Amino acid sequence: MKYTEELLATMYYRMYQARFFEEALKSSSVSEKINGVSHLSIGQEATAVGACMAMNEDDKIVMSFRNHAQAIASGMEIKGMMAEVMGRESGINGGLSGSAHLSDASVNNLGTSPAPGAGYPIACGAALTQQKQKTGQAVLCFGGDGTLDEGLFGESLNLAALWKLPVIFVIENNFFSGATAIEHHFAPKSVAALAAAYGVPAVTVDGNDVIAVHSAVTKARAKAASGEGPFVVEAQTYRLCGYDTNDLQLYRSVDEQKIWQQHDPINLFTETLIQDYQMDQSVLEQLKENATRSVNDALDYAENASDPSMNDALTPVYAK
Amino acid sequence: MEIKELSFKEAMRQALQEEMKADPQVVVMGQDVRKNGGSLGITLGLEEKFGEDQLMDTPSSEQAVVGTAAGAAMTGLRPVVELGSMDQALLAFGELAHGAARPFYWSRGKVKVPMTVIIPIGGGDNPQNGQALENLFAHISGLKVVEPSNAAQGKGLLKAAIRDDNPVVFLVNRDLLNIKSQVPVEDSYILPLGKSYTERKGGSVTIVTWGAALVSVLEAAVVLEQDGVRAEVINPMTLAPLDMDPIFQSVKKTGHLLIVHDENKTGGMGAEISASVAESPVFDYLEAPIFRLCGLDVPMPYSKGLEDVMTPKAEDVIQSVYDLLGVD
Repeated sequence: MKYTEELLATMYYRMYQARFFEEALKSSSVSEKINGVSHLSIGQEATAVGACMAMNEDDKIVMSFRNHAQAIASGMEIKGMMAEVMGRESGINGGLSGSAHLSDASVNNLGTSPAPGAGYPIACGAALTQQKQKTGQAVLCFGGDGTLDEGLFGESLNLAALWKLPVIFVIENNFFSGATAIEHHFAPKSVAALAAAYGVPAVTVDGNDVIAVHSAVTKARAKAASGEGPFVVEAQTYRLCGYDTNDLQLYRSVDEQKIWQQHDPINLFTETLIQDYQMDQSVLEQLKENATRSVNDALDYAENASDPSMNDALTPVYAK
Repeated sequence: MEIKELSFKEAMRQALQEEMKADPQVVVMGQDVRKNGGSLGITLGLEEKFGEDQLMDTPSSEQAVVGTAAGAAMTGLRPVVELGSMDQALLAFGELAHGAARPFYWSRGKVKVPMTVIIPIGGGDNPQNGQALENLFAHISGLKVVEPSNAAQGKGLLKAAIRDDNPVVFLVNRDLLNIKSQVPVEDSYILPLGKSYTERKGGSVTIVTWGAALVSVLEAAVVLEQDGVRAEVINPMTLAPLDMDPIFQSVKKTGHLLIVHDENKTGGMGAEISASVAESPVFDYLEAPIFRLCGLDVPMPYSKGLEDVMTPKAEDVIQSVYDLLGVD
């Protein structure tokens, strides 16, 4: 596939936005405003951006709970995201959903389910709507390797395969479920082997290579949307940060982390853009600067936003 | 309005058929719903009329099916899921409690989840898997819980549940399925959710009850009336959100409140209703302590005789009313 400079620039910009957004969350001034913890995905930006940018504008997206990069990649507006993470009234959901349950119907983002793997059937349902209404659209569903252990993953693959639903499951395999390494939590030989047991085709890609992810999800989307049924894309990646803002990371070696730091998706993409796509270093610098500025603007916006009024807790629970 | 005698099962089938015809986004899904009528037999005959587009067989994957219904509801369909039993529904509890019930609140009303989940309760199939557990669902903010007692209610409430823009848990008692009663046959017949219904007027005692327990209560009310005790029987029909006002008004009039339900007493809906009355100004009108007549606090046993002692019968209701009124 031919990549336009505009698409490449957007991918690069969003990867940096995601990186800076989460680095901001790690800073003490912001983390003290997070009520609870926030799940970070520093180092996994290529998977989120590559996958989301491979989808059509009217496709639906269901996120995993490691979702900030996915949300930014889906086109969610970061001022509202930052304000939501800080629990502000002007947050994207008025401070009711927080970091873990960001959602934005205006960019077809259905959000994140509250339990690991619980989003898989939600994505199947959104795909069922596309199929029944013959919209030609597909659904992108993110999940981490930890959610492969949930019964819902198998149930959802089975259902999606039986009904030939237009859904692409992108598994962000960062090799850890919490603090447990994949060989200790996942018995199948591979993600693809598990998918194959349900008759669902799967590919494995370097999740830190945004072009590889984009290309794999583009092909998967074409198949799913044309009626061939679900597709699994396993993107192998790595968290270059703790599980959440409280994680001490005692369960993995510094050496292992160093190896992956050499494979940082943003650095890889910078090299690719210069070497393979002859993009100008100064253009890339500018995009990086724009991303920095957008996150700083979002921080200013959120810091200065007001808290919800106490009455907002009584937002209706029923639709009229 | 034209009236016909229909069984509960036939009335529900009529409701499904009318709503599926009126709105092609209504999709009914469950195990064996296409060829075998589903777990309650209510979808028999719908296959020829609607085919696969609106009638979908599902695998036995309650979590995925309920979650799928929620995802479909968020994006434009109006799914009706039929599950096999309450114990199977428990497997899908999470998808109901958070997948379906929360997005509306968390999104500040931007995401609606219009879906209905029909769950069989009561005896008939495997009574020991048929507890109503209505209170579990009523406890979840954002879920509506409906429990009809007869064919007309089954039809009118199911139509309202399907048209409702919220996730609705619709509890159907197998023991009532073949009981026939008068049902309006017009398409326009509907019973609004969240409205209590006064089944019988009276001034001596207020009895609040629902589901299959209503049958025993109405039987008792006839006997009591012969003895000069006039029971006012109120059936909330919708357990969440609960319409308390008619109950308050009735207690104000009678000064006596008996709550009867088949479900376990501890933490049951009777406790909620009792507390609501005790906390309200109506408390001052009570002439005797509130009385709850409920199922025993044990899992449902298998043997028929044991099943029968689990839930209140008409004679228990009569005795409770006399105890409450201080009559020997």
